[in-house]
Amino acid sequence: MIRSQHLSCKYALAAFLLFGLQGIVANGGAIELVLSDLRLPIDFTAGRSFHLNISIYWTLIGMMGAIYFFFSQETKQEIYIVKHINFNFWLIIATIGMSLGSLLLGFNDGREYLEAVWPLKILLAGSTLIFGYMLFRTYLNSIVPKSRATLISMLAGSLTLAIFYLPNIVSYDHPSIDEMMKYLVVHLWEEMTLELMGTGVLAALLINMTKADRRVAEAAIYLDISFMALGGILATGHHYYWIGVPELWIWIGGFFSAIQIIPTIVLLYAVFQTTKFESFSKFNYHEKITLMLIGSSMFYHIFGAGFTGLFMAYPPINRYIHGTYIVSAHSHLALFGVFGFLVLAVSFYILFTKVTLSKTLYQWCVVAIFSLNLGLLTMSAGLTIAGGLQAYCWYVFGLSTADTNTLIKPYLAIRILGGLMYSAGSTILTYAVLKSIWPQLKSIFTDNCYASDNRYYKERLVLTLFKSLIKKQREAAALLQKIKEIVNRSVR
Amino acid sequence: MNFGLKGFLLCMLGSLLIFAGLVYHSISFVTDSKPSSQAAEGKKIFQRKACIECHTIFGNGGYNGGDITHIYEKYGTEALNSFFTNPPLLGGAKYARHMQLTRQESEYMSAYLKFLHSINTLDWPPEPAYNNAIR
Repeated sequence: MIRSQHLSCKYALAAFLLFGLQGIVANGGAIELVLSDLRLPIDFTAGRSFHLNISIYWTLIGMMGAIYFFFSQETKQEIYIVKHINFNFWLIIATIGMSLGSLLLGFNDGREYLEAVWPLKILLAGSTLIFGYMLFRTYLNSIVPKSRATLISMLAGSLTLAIFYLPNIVSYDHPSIDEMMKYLVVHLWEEMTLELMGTGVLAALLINMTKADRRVAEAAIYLDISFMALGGILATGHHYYWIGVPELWIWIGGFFSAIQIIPTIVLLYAVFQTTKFESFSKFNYHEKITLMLIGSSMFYHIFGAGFTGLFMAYPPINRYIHGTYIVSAHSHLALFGVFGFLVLAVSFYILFTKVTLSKTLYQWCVVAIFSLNLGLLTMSAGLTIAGGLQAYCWYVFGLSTADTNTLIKPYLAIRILGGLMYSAGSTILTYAVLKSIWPQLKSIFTDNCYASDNRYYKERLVLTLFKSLIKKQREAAALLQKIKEIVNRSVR
Repeated sequence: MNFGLKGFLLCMLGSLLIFAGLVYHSISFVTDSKPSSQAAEGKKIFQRKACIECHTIFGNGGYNGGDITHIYEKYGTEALNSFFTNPPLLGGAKYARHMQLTRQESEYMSAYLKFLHSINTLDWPPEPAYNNAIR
């Protein structure tokens, strides 16, 4: 493990901690929706914005760590100005801490998913800019072929991260412009930026772990990310149908959303074609857990995001299900199902390159993954039925919002049940990771990684040895001088 | 340059360029009608009070409080003002009330809701199919 990889381990750990916290906090809001008179210490608006923001932050920080880790592995060298991995970590941790804290205290910018106040948004934008710049310089310095698909995929994702975020630091007087800009983050981060980063990281991980054939993988990755860019960017239109913009977005959004299913199928095909899962039992415990998490991510990629999204983005259907809990079900399946599981998989893999996973904790991890999946599916099922009923009551019967809310409460209660299963899973998984990593906790936060196979470390080691040699030489010279004096004295 | 890389860059930059052009066109389209200063103030209050966590605008936001894009059409300024200054119980609740606004804030908010109603959302949300039959 080279120094960049060692330093990026703390990102993976932070991702797990935030993930564990998110699972617990979200339940409060879900319960409050069913029991309206429940007075929780945290206001519903604060709690919901906390939940939305933390769900982006932990996937973002986990993905950043994974990119640092795999980018240095793929370029076979250190990240440009390696100590800035540390600096960026503390910058983003401070930003996340302040954002979540200020949301709980009631400071809210009032734009869904972008609730943090603007000074904190500047900090986050700064962090993503530093991140993109570091990777770009590393890419320029690298000696491996510049067209390596994993690098291009990760780099394109990292550079667009900041570009899409910058217009959202401020808010606009016109609500339609506000909405248009919001989806640069809410849509394009998920379906373009994170997708590109995720594909690069996943490919690098699978090439490394299952010894997949790089040449075959390269072609598949290029095909995949080209379709992703072709479909994903203009598919932002499926969020623009009813926000007051020209009607042409219905055609653009509808057409390009349909294209979006292609990269999903290509990705699935590529994984099965390039990966040699000779036998599952050959893998270590932590590799098995990583593969299970990747498998979960793949499942939701196809069914939760891909086909459900295709169905929902068809404009005549979207007209009726837009603005209902069905959208909420879809966003849980797409954001956590796809990226949540993927970030968990890579973070898990990164952390367990440091320690070994015991058999007992392995079993607990399997239980946790099962519980997370079951919880997520239950939650989404409850929300889908609730959303379907909303559409039916509003647009067929013309019932009021309050009456409809009373009617759908049982299904929101099913959501709570799913949420509890989910948080049981997230708590167990975070516990298993923390317990395994605990003895190594100090080493993760200290910069003491020396590996013999790395040029940087060889240079540093030689320099240190050279310095101590000079020091010893000076000591020896001083001793010689003393001996000389003593000898001279005794001669007299 | 590698063929795959060329293809990817073409797809990515081409799509981004077209997207940017369309967004620019849409921005100039929507700014034909600008919100009044009162409506802009109302939007700031809407954001500060985090109304979006329960309500949706254009169908985006919290799914519990219903969509309020065209709520102005249903109630008008007076009814909205009395709702905000003297908020009723939340649906299904015995104690919990809707957030309260001052008289001034409520006027700004009504102006904002009036402006929202003026935006053409292509007939979304759909009219209830059996609206009259039920009532």
